[in-house]
Amino acid sequence: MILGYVTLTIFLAAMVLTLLRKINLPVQTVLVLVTLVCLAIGAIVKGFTEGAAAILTLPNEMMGGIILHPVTALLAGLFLAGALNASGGFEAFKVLIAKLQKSPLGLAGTFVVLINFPMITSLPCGRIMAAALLPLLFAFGSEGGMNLLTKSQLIVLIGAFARNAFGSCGPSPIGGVGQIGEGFLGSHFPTAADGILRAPQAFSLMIGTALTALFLKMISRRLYPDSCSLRDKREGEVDAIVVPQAPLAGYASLVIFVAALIVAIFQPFGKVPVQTVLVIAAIAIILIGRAGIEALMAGIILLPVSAMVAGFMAAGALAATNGFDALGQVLGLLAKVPVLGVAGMLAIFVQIQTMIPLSCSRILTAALVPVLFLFGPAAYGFLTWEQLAVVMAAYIINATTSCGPSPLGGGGMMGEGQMRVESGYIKGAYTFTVMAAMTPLAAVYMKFLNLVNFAAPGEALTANIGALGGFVVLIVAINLLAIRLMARLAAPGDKPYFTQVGGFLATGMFAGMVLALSTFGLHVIPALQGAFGGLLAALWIAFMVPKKLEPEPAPF
Amino acid sequence: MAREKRKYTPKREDGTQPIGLPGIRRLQFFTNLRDRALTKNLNRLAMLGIGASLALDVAKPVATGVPQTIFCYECRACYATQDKCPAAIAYQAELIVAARVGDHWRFIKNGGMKCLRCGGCVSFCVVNLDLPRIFSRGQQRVMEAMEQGRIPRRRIRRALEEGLFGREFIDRVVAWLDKQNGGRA
Amino acid sequence: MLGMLTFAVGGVLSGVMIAWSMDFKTARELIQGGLGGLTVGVLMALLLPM
Repeated sequence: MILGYVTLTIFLAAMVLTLLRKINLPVQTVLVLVTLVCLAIGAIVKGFTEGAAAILTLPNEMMGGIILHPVTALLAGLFLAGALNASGGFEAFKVLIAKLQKSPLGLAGTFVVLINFPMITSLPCGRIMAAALLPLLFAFGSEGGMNLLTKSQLIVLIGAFARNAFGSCGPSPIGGVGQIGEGFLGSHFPTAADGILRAPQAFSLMIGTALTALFLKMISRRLYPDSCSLRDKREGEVDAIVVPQAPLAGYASLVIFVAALIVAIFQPFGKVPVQTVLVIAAIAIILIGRAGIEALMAGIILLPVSAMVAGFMAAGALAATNGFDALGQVLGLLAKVPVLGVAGMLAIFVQIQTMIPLSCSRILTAALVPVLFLFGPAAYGFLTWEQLAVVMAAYIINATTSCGPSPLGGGGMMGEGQMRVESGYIKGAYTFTVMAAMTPLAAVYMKFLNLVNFAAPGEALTANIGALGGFVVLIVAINLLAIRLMARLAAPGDKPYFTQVGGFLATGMFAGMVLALSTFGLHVIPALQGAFGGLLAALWIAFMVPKKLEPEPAPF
Repeated sequence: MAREKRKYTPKREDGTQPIGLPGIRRLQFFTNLRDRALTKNLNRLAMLGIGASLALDVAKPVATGVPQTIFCYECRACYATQDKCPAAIAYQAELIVAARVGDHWRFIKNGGMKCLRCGGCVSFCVVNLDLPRIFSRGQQRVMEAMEQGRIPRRRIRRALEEGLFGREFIDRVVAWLDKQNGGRA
Repeated sequence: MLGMLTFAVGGVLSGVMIAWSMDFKTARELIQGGLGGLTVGVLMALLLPM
């Protein structure tokens, strides 16, 4: 087990140092080096303890960390984007948006729906929608040609859309990350597999997306004022909104796009991988638009794929050398620390994936949900089934949103690329809202409403809509207040940065307390322990947010 | 001698890159990282390693007779099988990943060698993988790997003691362990 | 029904906040944002097991 602690330390150190620019190398290179170092240490230790055969198994064990699904999902999304672009589908989309501007929804309502579109479609990987539609969002700006939105509006639109996309894999019923937790809860709740975690996740994602938009507008833009190289329209440029002419093939490709989404989500022709449906749709769009194969390939950008795979490799090396076992053990030990107790440990546990954001949430979720399950009646008995469901809801939403702020090839980097900002720009907004709002919101939704719908036979639970409403209002109000206070002082430099850390700590404590109250009821000791756990988690999360994004001098 | 540091200017928009889609140049997302190279060859080697690992991860299951495993989302919806699994296997998805990459110990420790291939878990799979077939092939490969000495003997013995081998494999495993011990049980 | 109500109210709240963040600040635009959020909330509630 010492091996696990060593490799976990190496991995965490490399991740933090890369994020803080102390290791000034591309993230892929760092991760490959971490993989090699971990494997080398693992080979030495296992070679001595288990012989040569154990060394030979290490590469296969590392390969088990590579998850193919997000890679193929991203490629399918990029294929679709290329096809839509070539066939005039984006132009048709722009015409549609311009028409909706005159509908009762107006421009504001239309963008609200567009931002939440990934959650509504709930595909099993957010990268599909992000890859397919981010170029469209860019086109609404001045540089993109449509001149509909200003630079600051575009930052909020892209950031909020990416936030929504990189949480939408959670509530997906066709292979979403939440299904890991639902599978376990099926031990007690007979219909858990129908989607016991879906509503809490969707609800908190909806509110969390809005708070992310608010954070981006009020804080990120002030904290990193020089980071974004998007531009507003130049003097002398036409002020009018430009609505392009869309070819008929463009409208046809939009119809195919929507039809493909419906087939992928509702699966009327049986269970088929989403990627298959989307690639067929992309080919159909290409044929209708009479575009060449080059158009299909135009969307393919290999660098996000390579960063993601490098993240998987490092995580695989960590798994092969018992790094995740060590992490699980540390979390279990935290429950024995008196000031933390079970409530404090759980307050940290539910935030762990935001604290260690990997390129895909599935990596850590697969390792830690079984550990969480063991805290329930199945093994240690720290929690009842109902309490386990509440903690699971909080954990899963935190987990599924963790690829957003990941600097290791996470999805949020795609949004940052489109915003023309340095890596790390969105980290504050994404981690703050998940920690302070989305995690406690999912817990209270599960506690006061969803458990009733999924209660096991013989259990009489009563929905308490008043308590739910009260908690939701309180959580949103505390978040708004914290954002307001942080925004008032937000500016580059040390002093405002520490003000921001203070905001993180206060809301982190509050989130830990809400989780403890939802899980253990109105008891003072668990509430205080939860608050302390939340504080510790927030401390780590706050210091992972970059203080400034001005590039360091190059090391050569 | 102190080395003079050059002023680093970020190139978030590098006009020399080909444009892919609106707003996206090919290297857009990592343009700022591209300038961070210590040596170009180190980065090239890293990319080569990443590409090779990904290619191997796809090619290996095709070559070893479990191509379906490529389609697994790793969503773990199959964990909902719960007590419908007669062999009490809790983590079916782990077996699929283990079969895909040839991680034999992962397959054994998650109960793969106890699987009866009844198909009780298939209905929970969101992409309808032929799980009994994948698990059957995984079992065959574990036995082959064991007999070729590619799994540490100590792990095989531990798995046997913990009851991780199904009835149909026990005799073969015991015989192999006997042979390894020079005829001693 | 309670789930639908919760999603509808949450949707409106979220829609108004997004609209305001995107510099849509007139009463009409904020109402439009709320309406968009309401659409999202109701649609989402219909798709979820309640």
